[in-house]
This record gives sequence, structure tokens and C-alpha cells, in this order.
Amino acid sequence: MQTGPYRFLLRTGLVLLPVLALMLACEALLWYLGESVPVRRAATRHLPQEGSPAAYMPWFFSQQFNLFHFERVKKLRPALLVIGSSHVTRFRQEMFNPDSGFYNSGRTIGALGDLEQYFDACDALGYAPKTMLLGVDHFWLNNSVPQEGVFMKEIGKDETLDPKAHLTAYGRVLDSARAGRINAALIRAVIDRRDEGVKRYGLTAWLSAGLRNDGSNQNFDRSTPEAYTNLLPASVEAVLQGHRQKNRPILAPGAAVDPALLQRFEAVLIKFQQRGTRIIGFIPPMAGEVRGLYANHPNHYGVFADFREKIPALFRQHGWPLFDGSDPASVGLDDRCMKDEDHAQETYHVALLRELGRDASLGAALSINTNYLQSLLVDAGTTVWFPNYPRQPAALSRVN
Amino acid sequence: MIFNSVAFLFFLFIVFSLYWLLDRKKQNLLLLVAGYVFYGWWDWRFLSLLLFSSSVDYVVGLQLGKSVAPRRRKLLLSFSLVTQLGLLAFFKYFNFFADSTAKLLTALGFEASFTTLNIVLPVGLSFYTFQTLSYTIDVYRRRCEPHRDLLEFMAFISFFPQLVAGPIERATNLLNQFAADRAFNVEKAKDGLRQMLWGYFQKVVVADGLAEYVNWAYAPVGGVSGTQLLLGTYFFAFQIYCDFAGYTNIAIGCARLFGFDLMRNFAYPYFSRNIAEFWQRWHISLSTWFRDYLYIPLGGSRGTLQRTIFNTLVVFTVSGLWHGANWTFVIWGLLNGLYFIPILLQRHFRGEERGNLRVAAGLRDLPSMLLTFHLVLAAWVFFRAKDLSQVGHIFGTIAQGIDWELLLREGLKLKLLIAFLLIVEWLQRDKRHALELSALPVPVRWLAYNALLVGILWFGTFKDAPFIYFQF
Repeated sequence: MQTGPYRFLLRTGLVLLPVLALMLACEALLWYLGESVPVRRAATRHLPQEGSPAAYMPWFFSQQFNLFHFERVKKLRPALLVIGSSHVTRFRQEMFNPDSGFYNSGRTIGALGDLEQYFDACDALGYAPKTMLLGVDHFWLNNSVPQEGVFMKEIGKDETLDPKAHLTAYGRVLDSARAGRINAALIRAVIDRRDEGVKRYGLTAWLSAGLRNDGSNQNFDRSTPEAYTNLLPASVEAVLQGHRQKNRPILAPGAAVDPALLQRFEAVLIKFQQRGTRIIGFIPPMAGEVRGLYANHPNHYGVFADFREKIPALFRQHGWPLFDGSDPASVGLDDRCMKDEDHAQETYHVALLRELGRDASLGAALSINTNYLQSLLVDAGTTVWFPNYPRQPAALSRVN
Repeated sequence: MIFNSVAFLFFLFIVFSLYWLLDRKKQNLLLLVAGYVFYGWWDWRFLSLLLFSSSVDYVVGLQLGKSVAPRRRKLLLSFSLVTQLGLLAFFKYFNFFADSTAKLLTALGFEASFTTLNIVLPVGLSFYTFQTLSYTIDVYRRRCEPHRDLLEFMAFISFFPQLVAGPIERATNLLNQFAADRAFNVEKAKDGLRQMLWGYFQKVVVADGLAEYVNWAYAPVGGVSGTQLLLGTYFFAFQIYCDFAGYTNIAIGCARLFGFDLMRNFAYPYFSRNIAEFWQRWHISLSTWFRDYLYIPLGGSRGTLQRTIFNTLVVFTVSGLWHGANWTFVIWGLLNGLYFIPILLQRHFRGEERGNLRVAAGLRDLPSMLLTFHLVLAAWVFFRAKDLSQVGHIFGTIAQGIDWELLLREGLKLKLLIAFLLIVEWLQRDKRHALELSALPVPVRWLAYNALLVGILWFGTFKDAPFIYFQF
């Protein structure tokens, strides 16, 4: 037996000791922040906390919303399920009665395929919600957007158990350290918060943002009204560029609703209905500039106008209620209720529920907490950007 | 299993740890098993193909050794060629030829439709087929003896460091090493690790870092400006270089850990001063394979100028087709052949000799290096494009004009990575690989290794992205 090779291995280990130590330090930090806790464990331990703090949102690992939400759904089997893209993430438990069985599984449906796979996954569990509040996005029916979906794939694996994801996370830690985003003050802030008794998973959660126990998303920053106007490109060409670079399906060009996709959409909703789910839909809001873009460039964005005709018709045909909330004015608000070009603040959601609750049957199905809504509606602090809610739409003007 | 996976690092550690405990025969057995595990990691069903391909040429080699009658020897060689190239033709080219023939017949006014098959190309097929073929041809030409030890022969064909993307080894070099005792050489192993480290940097940091921009620019959706397409093409030139050279560095370094020396496959090709030199520095094992087994049998440069040009064009066109069953590859090969014509004319009329690789380029050679690089760059558009209509679109869009400010501004981090790569390789261009640092003091070397590893951790892309050349 030759001993040289093993001395060589040992020596190699010694040479690489500094980099191994660095990796160990990164791993320790990730563990301390709860970043590397397996998502299934985080979802199971994500218990109700006083004040509903945000407690799940990794920064260095992928956020794995699909896996996290589905694990929560498996555990809770909610009677009232909110489902959709990132446009629905601000419906909160407080807006509904405490015994409503509410869970917000937002940001799981980025494509029509995700909705189909979501149904299949629930069906495999033998679970179907009693009521489903569905935020319907027009890009699910746009054939220039990939509609395969990733839901099944993503609920099948946990990145925190993948060594490659750890290596990627080390790179992000190093990058954050270089940029000064990880510093002594941040570590101190995390340490100071550890005795609050809240289990948090991920750096973002330590900074009070992320998913709450009810599945809704809480942001710690609020965009200025200027921020979303800056997000909007000036021309169609720029929009196309933006779409390609940032892969934003909301701005993907499309002439009309694809009939095959519409058929698939109808089929999956029928399947939910056949499992006993009451479907209630709404079209999420968009800032005026985005709606203007669609209106002014019908050759590129005809899909949106077509969508606003065909989806209500489809819902009517099946007797499913649908509220077209694409214009904030439809619930008595204006662009000040928007966080950015296509995400609304909580106020919008409260106002939307108020509109839906005008129908007693819908109010009962959604188990809307009327008292809470009312208290929010008279509270001047409902959102930073909408201090005087409610007012009549005609009296409102854009904040510039 | 791919080199840039965590599984491979564990695999390598286990095989290395066991290997040096064993005697030569058992070492060969271990390498054979390791090779089959490594290959079967993709798809175990293709192991039968590897086994079949190796067995055929082992038997043909033995029969050639026993035969003296030229007719029988020719027959045996033909059997090997038909079998090996038949496999390649079926898995790689069946759909291409069926589709192209149908299109041609339709264009001529005939009604034609051939069934295309849903064939999955076994990874590395072109590489190990060429390696095993070279053995049979060399035995036929009596350049090497038929190998009687089945274990050594099988281990030679399935040697995992170079099984799926080369270097395409010759029996005269690699097979003989399986027949000889191997003693652990610490200097060789150290240098092997260094070469692997540089290979990982090339692949994980540079190639995979550039891939995202290149994939975006070359995606078959419109809306990318000419400037971005140009930048994407520059990036692709470095992506494919770092992807393939990175793989090769890992392969050669890995083989050295086990006491083997593989042939050099890249020699800083982007510092070439003309296209002939480029092809002496790029994918050397394939270029020399085509030289020895196609160009020279066709007559090489021994005949008339016209014949030499014809032979060159044939070799490059076939080389293009070897890369993939697509007209873009064929034209890429042909274009490189056309680039050769001025050099052949120059050699013919001025009697100039071939360039000498041992004389490294200097800064005074910058204009010729830049010209060569840009000729190669133009050809890479054909190599990367999905089809010929995309090639037309790319050149057309670039020709519409370049936004110089955007060209300078976009992809700054990626440009810095390329600059780092070029500086290191330029400084090390007279060495066999860019991280050959044995002359430096120990602390400096250790610092360099750790810095490079931190760089890989920091800027690396850890997605198990497959190597581009696996598809060939």
C-alpha cells in the first residue's frame, strides 16, 4: 500500500483549510438565520404567533413558496383558500372571521399549468377547499407566456437539502458582506430579536417581512407613488425589452386570449367545482399606466381587453361570481392604493372584500369579518398612501 | 454524472481513496467499474452501447492481429467502421438525413415524407466511438499491437475522466498506460489538482456565468438589439471556450490523480495568430484525429493545390457534421475550411512552413490575434444559432448598427471575468495550463488556490449545468 496518496489528501485538506473555514462560517450564519432549515420543517413549525409577525422568508436560499404553501395547506386543509399569483398575497386572516379556516396560498400560480398542477396536488391529498378566492391573471391565457407550470416540480424537492443550493447561498452571503448588507448592526438586530419568542426562517423574516402564519405576505417597505411610475417603460419596444430581461409575464405581448388555454382554464375550475369548491374570482388591479399601455397598444396587448370580455362571460356561464377589480376605481380607490404597477396595498384588498360582501351570499361564503373591515375603513392609518379612506373616487386625484 | 456536481466530488474521493490501495490489475478493474458507474449515472440503458462498442473493437483488434491476408484485414476493418459509424449515424444523424432528404425531394417536386424517430443521443457517443475506432485503424495499419487483456482494453475505452468529452485518446498513448504499473507521484497529483481547479473556475464561474446572457440573447424570441446580439456572440466565444477547455482541464487533472497522462486538448486558442494555428490549439485531439484518419488518407497536402484545398474543405465539413446533425454545424465547419484557403495559397506560392506552437505569441502579434479571433467569432454564430434563419437574423440585426455606449455598459461583471481569464492565460501562455504555479513560493501558491476557490464560491453558478460538448 502506498501512503503517499493519503498524505497528499491530508495536505490538500490543510491547504484548503481557510476556504473550508469560510464555508463553515457561511453555513453557521445560514443556520443561525434559519435560512437552511428544511422548508417542510419550517412550514410545520410556523405556528400562530401574537401579532401575526412575518416569519418565513429566506434571503440567501430560494424562497420556495410553492413548497412552503403546499406544506401548510397539507397541514391546515383550509376551508377558505386564497389562490393566485403575487397579486393576491395581501389578503390576511384579520379580514375574515377567526373561524373561517382561511389560508392565503398566493404567489403559487404563475401560469395556467400551475393552477392545473395545484388542483392535481390537492386532489392527490383528497383535499378541496370549501371556498376558493381566485385572483385571475390575464397572462395565464396568453400563449406567448410559457404555461407549463412548475408547481409539481417545486413541491417535489426542497432546495435546502441540496448541496448546490448551499454553495449558491455561500456566494450570496459573500456578496452581501461585500456590499455591506450583512454587517455587525444587522447581526446585532437579529440577536436582539431572538428573545421575542418568534421562530423566524430566513434573514428577510428577521427584518419583519415575509410570509405570516396565514400565508399572506408582509412587506417591510412601501413604495412611493413615484416608484411604480418609474418601473413603467416609456415605449412598447422598451416594454418588450423589459419583459425579456426581467421575464415579467404581465407585460408579455399577446393579441388575444388563446382559446385552448381558456378551455384548459375552464376545465380546471370545473374540476374544483366537482370536488365541492365554491369558486369566487376577481381580476387583480393594475396601475393606470399599465392599463393605459394595454389600451393604447391593442396590437400588442389585445389579450387584456379580450380577457376582460371572455373571463366574465365564462364565469357567468358557470354561475361563478367574478369581480373585475383591474381598475382600482372599481372599489372606490385610485392608483395610490398600488404598491407598484401591478401589486396593491392592503387597502385595496379591504375595499375589494367590502364590495364582494355587499352580496350577502358571497359575504357568508367568504366569511368576511365585516367589523374588522369597517374598523380598517375608518382608520386613517390604513395605508401610508391612503390616509383618508374612504372617499368618493371622483374626489381623488393622482399623487404626483 | 457531471464534473461540476457534488456527487462527482464524492465519487472522485472514493475512487481515489480505493485506487491507491490496489495493485495494477485491481486498479484497472476499479477504473472499469468507476467508468461504468460514471456513465450509467446519466442513463444505465446506454451502458450496453458502451459495452457493445468496446467489445466489437476488442474482438476486431484480436482478429486483425491474427490475420495476414489483406482482404480479410480490410473486411475486419470495414466491419468495425460500419458498426461504430453505424451506431453514430443511427443515434446522431438518422433524423437529420431523413428530414433533409425529404426536404430536398419536396423541393425537387417529389412527394416525400420520412418517419423521424424520437431518438435520445447517448452522451459522449461521438467521443468514445472515435477513440475505439482509432484503436482499430491503428491495429490495421500495424501502428499498434492488438491488445489481448480485455480488462485493460475495456478500462481504456471507459476511462471516466475522458469518457464523455475527450480528449479523444489514442491507444498508443493511453492504452499502454493501463498496461504499465503506476506509482503515485505527488508532484503529478498536485499539478493535476491545480489543473482541475482552473478547469472548475473556467466552467463554473466563466462559462456558466456567461451562459445566462448568451441564452437570453440567442433565445428564439425577438426584441434583442444588434448590440446585445454582438455582445452575446462575444460572450459565447468565451463561454464555449471555458466550457470545453474547463472540462478538458478537469479531465486531464483528474487523470493525473490516478497516474495517467492524457494528451493536451487546448493550448490558449484565442492567442492564435492565424486560423491554422487556431486549429492546432483548439480541440487538438479531434483536429489530430481528423488529420491522421481522414486528411492524410485523402492525400493530405501531398497532391496538387486544388486537391489540398478539397481535402481541407472535406475535413472541416465532416468535422462540422461531427459536432451535430444540423446545417449550422456543417456551414460552421465549411467556413473554417474556407478560412484556411488563403493560408494554403500562401504556403503553396511562398513555400512558407507551418507555424511553430512553441513560439508563444507576443503583444506585437495583437493585430493578427484579433483578426483570427474575429474570424472564429463570426463562425461561432453558426455554431450557436438554432438554424440558418436565426443566423441571418443575427447578422442582419448586428448590421443595422451598434450602440457603442450600450456595448461598453452592458455585462460589465462578465467582461471583468473575461479580462481576468485572459490576463491569467496570457501570463501563463507558455505553460501547459494556466494554473501551473509550481515555480512560485508555497505561501503564494496556497494563497492563489484559496483565492480562486473563494472566487468560485462567490461568483460560481451551481446548477449542474451540463457541458456543451456532452451533446456531441
